[in-house]
Amino acid sequence: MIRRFLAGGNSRRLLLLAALVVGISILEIRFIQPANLRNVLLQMSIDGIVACGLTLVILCGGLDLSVGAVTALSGVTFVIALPLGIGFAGALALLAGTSVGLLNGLLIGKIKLNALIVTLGTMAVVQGAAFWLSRGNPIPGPGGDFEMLGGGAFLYIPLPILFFALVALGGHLLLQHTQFGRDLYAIGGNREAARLADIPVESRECCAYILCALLAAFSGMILASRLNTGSPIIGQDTPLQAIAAIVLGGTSLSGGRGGILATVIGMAIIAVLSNGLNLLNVSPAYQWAIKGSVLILVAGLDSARRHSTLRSTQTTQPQHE
Amino acid sequence: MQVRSWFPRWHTRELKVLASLIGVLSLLLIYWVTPGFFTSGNVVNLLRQVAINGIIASGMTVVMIGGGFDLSVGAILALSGVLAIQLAKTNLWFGILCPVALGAGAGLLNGTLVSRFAINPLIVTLGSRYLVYASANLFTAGFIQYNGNPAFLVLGRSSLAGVPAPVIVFLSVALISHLILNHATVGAALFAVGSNERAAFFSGLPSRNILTLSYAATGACAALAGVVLASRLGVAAPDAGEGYELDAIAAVVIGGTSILGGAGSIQRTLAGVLLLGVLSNLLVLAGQSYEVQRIATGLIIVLAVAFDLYRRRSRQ
Repeated sequence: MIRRFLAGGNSRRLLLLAALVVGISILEIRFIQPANLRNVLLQMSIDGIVACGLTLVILCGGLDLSVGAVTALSGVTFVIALPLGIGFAGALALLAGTSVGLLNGLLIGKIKLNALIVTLGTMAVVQGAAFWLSRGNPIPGPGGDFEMLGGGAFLYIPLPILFFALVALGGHLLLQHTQFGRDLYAIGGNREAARLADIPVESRECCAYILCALLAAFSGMILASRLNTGSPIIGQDTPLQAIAAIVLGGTSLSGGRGGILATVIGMAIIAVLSNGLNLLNVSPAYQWAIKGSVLILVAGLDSARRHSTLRSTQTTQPQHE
Repeated sequence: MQVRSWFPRWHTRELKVLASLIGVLSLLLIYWVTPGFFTSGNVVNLLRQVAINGIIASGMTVVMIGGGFDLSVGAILALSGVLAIQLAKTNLWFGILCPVALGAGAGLLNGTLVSRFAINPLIVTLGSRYLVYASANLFTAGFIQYNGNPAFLVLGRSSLAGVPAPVIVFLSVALISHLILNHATVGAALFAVGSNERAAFFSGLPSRNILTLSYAATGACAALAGVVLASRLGVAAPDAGEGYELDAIAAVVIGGTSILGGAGSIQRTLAGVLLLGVLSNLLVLAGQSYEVQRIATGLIIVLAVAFDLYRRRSRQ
């Protein structure tokens, strides 16, 4: 049973996470205090929402580099449109994000352009739009109720954490228990086979990009509210950070393998690592070095495991026949 | 007869890119008549502006023809810049060659991880991007580095017969890459590996070594760009280089080099680099702001890839 537990990618990563938590707690007892753990969760929530959306896209074999720009655009839109009413402003921010997702989805899903290049292009366009809307300056928010979304709490749980939990749960259920989720895995595993199996590949991909951008826009709203500012320069490093977390969680960049739980674990590993290293007074340079090494190491181990299982199935196959 | 055999050449990729370049150029000129554009001062300026991106993009072309990808070039540029500034204080040649060698070394590491350990290049170079930024920050303790020695600034600021030195470096790098890609065995092998790595391996090519070499070339180019930039500015920051990787990829892709590997050329990248440079130069001359430049760049990237696909479909 232990062996079976260890065979699952998620369980091995949970063990790594647990080892990190225990190790850092031994070195620095402040880490395990509830206030700090709440901080860790808060730190991973806002980027985590983006990573959950990006996971959907990566699972179906795509990629979205424009998510960071979408957070910036939605944050700026949210703050600028506030005089029209907070609900309307929020809807407008989400709409801005969704339209970027729709554009990505149409270009990549329908017209079949390369995802990396298209989203590199839309990233530049959306960044430009965010700069244009804000005239290049961060726009201060009005404070007060506006800060509730990012700073408020429900039953002592900070709202961003609650939103992240809901998004992760919703995403997990969507992937594991709906036709849509199964289709995404099928498309990521083999696009041509999925098409032949009568899966509406194009619209599924389109939906994945729209959901991804929608979640990025939502995260941008939370961030704007938390900082009480709509800033056009936020999110420039978000896509690469999110990809790092997703890969660390064990989702394959070539699609078809992974899931939301894996992404949550990946986000948690990065959050625990950076919080712990901060508490231990490790300089940012060493933190980058550690992050980079962990990323390459985990990806390398995954690749080695995949190849060894591939080889063992290849040698055992003749015996079955 | 002669016209017929000559005519189809107009459909080659390079000329189409050139045509779109001329098209965009003239279109923009109609909208914002900018008498400043064709002054020799501005043309020299334009070439100088595109030189850094051009050097990086030449290397990126090599790695992308091999089917790879490199996100660490910006970090390598930052590291080699601060190294050059510091090492040139002891010995000038040491300060130029050592960072380039180190860049090639970082590329070798990337290439080994990609080819031997079969890790996705996006992840490898994302990881090494963190590692290289870390070493640049450790080397400088996070501080900006200065070197005002006139001998060191020659590479960035001098010019030969009116052509700035960075442009000469850029054109020589492009020429060497072109010669290697099109007139050397290893170049032909790289195209083979890029279009089908398994087939190349089974036909006896040392495909892993070739891939590794392509990453080393990219690393060396990025490092050279870092040295030239440092020599031009006399200053280098350990956190410079953000965004250079995406600019270089944009230039390569706009030129029409396939992101899937196996097809592409330096001339195309040259056209892509120039197109981006001319665009931003014209927009600046026309008094347009940063955001308009970003939007225009993004639109051109999307248009270029759409155009590329349209061309491939219409050929089938």
